[in-house]
Amino acid sequence: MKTKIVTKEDLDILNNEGIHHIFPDKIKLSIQMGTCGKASGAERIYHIIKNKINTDILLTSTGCIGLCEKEPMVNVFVPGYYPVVYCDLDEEALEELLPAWIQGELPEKNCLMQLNRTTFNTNGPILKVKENIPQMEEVSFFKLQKKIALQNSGIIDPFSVEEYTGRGGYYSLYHVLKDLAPEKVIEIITDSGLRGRGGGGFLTGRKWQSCRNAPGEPKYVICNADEGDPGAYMDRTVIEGDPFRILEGMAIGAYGIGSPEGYIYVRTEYPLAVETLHKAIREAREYGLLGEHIFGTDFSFDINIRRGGGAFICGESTALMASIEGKVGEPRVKHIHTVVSGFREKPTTLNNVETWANIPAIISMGSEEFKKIGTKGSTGTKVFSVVGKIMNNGLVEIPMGITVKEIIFDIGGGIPFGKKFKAVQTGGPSGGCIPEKLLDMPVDFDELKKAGSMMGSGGMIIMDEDTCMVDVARYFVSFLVQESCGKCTSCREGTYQLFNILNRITEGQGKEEDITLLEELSETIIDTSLCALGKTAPNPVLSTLKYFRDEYDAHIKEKKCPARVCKALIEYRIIPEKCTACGKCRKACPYNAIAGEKKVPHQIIKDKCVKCGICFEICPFDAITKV
Amino acid sequence: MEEKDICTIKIDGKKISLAKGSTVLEGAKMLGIFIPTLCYHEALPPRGNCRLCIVEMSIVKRGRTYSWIDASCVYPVEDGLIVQTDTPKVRRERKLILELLLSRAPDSDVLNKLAVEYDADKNRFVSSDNGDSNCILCGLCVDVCNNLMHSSGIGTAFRGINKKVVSPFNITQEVCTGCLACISVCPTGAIKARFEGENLNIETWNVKLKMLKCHSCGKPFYPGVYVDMLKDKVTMAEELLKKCPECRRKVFRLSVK
Ligand SMILES: Cc1cc2nc3c(=O)[nH]c(=O)nc-3n(C[C@H](O)[C@H](O)[C@H](O)COP(=O)(O)O)c2cc1C
Ligand code: SF4
Ligand code: FES
Repeated sequence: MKTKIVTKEDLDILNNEGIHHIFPDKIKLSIQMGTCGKASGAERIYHIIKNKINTDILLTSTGCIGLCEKEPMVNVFVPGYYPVVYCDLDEEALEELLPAWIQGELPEKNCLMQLNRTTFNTNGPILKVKENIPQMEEVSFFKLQKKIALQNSGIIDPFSVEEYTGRGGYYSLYHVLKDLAPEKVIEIITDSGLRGRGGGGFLTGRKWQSCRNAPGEPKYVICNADEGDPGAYMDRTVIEGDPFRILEGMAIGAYGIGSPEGYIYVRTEYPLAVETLHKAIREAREYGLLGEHIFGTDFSFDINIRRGGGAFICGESTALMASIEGKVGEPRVKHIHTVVSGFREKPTTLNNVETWANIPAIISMGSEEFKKIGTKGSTGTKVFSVVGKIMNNGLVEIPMGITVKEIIFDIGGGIPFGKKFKAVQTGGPSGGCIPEKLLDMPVDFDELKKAGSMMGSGGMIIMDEDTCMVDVARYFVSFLVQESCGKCTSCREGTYQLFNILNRITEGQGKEEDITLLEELSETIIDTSLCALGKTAPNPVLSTLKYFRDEYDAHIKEKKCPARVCKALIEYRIIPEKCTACGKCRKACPYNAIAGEKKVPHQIIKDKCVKCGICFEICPFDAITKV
Repeated sequence: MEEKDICTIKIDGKKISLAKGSTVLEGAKMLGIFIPTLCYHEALPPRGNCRLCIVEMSIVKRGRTYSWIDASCVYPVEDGLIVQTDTPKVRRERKLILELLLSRAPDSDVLNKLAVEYDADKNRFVSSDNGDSNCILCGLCVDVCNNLMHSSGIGTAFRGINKKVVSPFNITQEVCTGCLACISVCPTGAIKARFEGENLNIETWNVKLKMLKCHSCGKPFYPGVYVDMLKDKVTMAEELLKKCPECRRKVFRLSVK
């Protein structure tokens, strides 16, 4: 049984313990074990290390620091020095590194960077910097970043409330409960300009105020961790790396709004996140940081977890609430807002994981400091998952207002294999594609909207010159066809017809009037769909039509796919001058569609070829082309 | 009613004052203005599924005019709201919605009649017809079964274009009482049911119910389970309930004499 944290002294003791955990007097190895780390083999690394060390060495886990491309990673702490992050680890690398670490050495091999005072500014002792090892702010991936929501992810042990407190956690809640009236809390959040990070960008403080003002008891707060966008994993990483931040944020919000009970709606496909939350809630309850009379005050608040079945639409506020109530996850019309009548028809505040994660930071730094980060209309930072055709796949947290170009080229390291950038899709499946000419656009809720895309929850998919934009539109629309709840005609039937038209264009069956039909359909779907899924579903079509109209025309009029992606419109050919008749392609072709003998240039038999592209990949002499 | 509970709106140029919480469609009905609807039924709360009842709305707030399209059956009136029910844009979008609905239910009489009025082209879109019914997923049958009859004999399964109204797990189930409320609210006549000898066969829901024979004339009249359900709901002697409506009336007529 743990002693409940009641007084400031209790909290200080916990904080001290935490600092001691983060900077122990022994060597400590922290394996980055987020879902992304595990997928790269972090568990293996963990077990190898575990079997080779004795009790003099501490072994813990931590979340993801963002550079998923270079996982598995281990943070090595040697007393006296700031922790050093090692990357791209495998058994072989460990053979050399582990003995060195055990000796208290910090070799340069596989070394990514050293964390330093930028990361640990106010917490903990001042330690030594290791020469020859790049510092975090010297690594281009991290240089432009500003970490708030991801402040602790990949730094602390996510299961340790001590370490969270050691990083300043729970002081905000303490301050709020002891010194501030609920109205004042809402005032700070409103004044900070924080806008919801889950999609709409609604002012969080204003939402809380409406909920507080609405009649009806009890009020509820909900954390939206449904995260259904393809390619997005910001929320998962925050939960896996720093769960107490969300619990603290929700408790602060609940105090402001006047709510005794909260829910976290998290998708079942995130088993580690679910487990992490369960453990964190249990731990917080034991310390009295959730439950009755938190910090000995009159404020009581507890949190329940509800798991979603992975329907994208259940991220929409009204569908989410229906789902928690045990009903079919379908949206309802929102002419009466959920802040007035939401979960169980009571006033309900729903915020995204990242929104909640910002709350403790805003309280501790104050709204004035927070406003200094970002732009006037979009304050603070935003986490993006930068994926696709990009060197540094990963999670980045940037101050609002830096340009898309900086994210892709400076942080992301640009496009691999010397390919040309073509477009970036932001805002999830119903966002839009931004072309090269708009790359200097600052990342900001309003600017993205102006460009025909949106912030969404922060997915950023980078596409290179080998991407067909009609095919991209088709892909996103097909996702939405599958994920439409099917309640209303315009979205259910309309997106299906959008898909059919796009499909026939990519198959070379497009007609000239298809473009007008796409536009007409899009207008009606946007105007008449019931919820935001339908209302934004045509975005991928409209934005690609706007910026890449020539590709549509090429497909329809010339029956050509300029990026050579759409199978029906391409053909594989062997260039006889380059073919050495090595026979590799002939053997690899699963359809026996390649004919040829020794010393005679090979040929593709058109009728048999299904355009799988295996020969194209396998030819060592680049003798096969797509036309 | 206090003044603050009343909203005055204009529909097609005509002013009307309505209680807060009323919908635009209700206002239009009072004014005798016709708006086509498919998923609306007086006995049930509006749902906004079919989107046929869309209208153009506008309102001036803080000196700015906002205009948008929305479904009138679910839109609650606000003071100062201006509604237009039959503009070219509304007609164009209704036409497209009808075309979409026809791609699913090409044989529905209601839809074909509306198609003539709106000049809808049945062949602009690929068929999404699953072949065996005119269901347009308006949701009325599910609502009436669950929330008025409290039977929960049907519900929706799957989502998006694959969504269907089915009996639980699409198998024969025992909660249906054969009240046929679903058939009475269905706008497109999509639910198939037949009397077969002593049985009521609701094919669409995989239900076969034995009919009770009238205790007086011996004619099968209601499904037995339906009469059982009525026993709990109406105050009528059991012997009377077990007679067909005609024979029951005879009994009443006798007793009045
Ligand atoms: C189809 C659809 C899916 C959504 N999915 C999510 C989601 O996965 N996570 C999320 O936080 N918000 C999602 N949203 C936005 C939520 O409805 C809601 O606006 C948000 O959670 C509010 O929190 P915020 O104000 O903190 O952004 C989705 C919205 C729509 C229309
Ligand atoms: S717009 Fe799409 S997802 Fe939203 S209610 Fe209609 S069918 Fe469902
Ligand atoms: S009648 Fe209004 S949406 Fe169907």
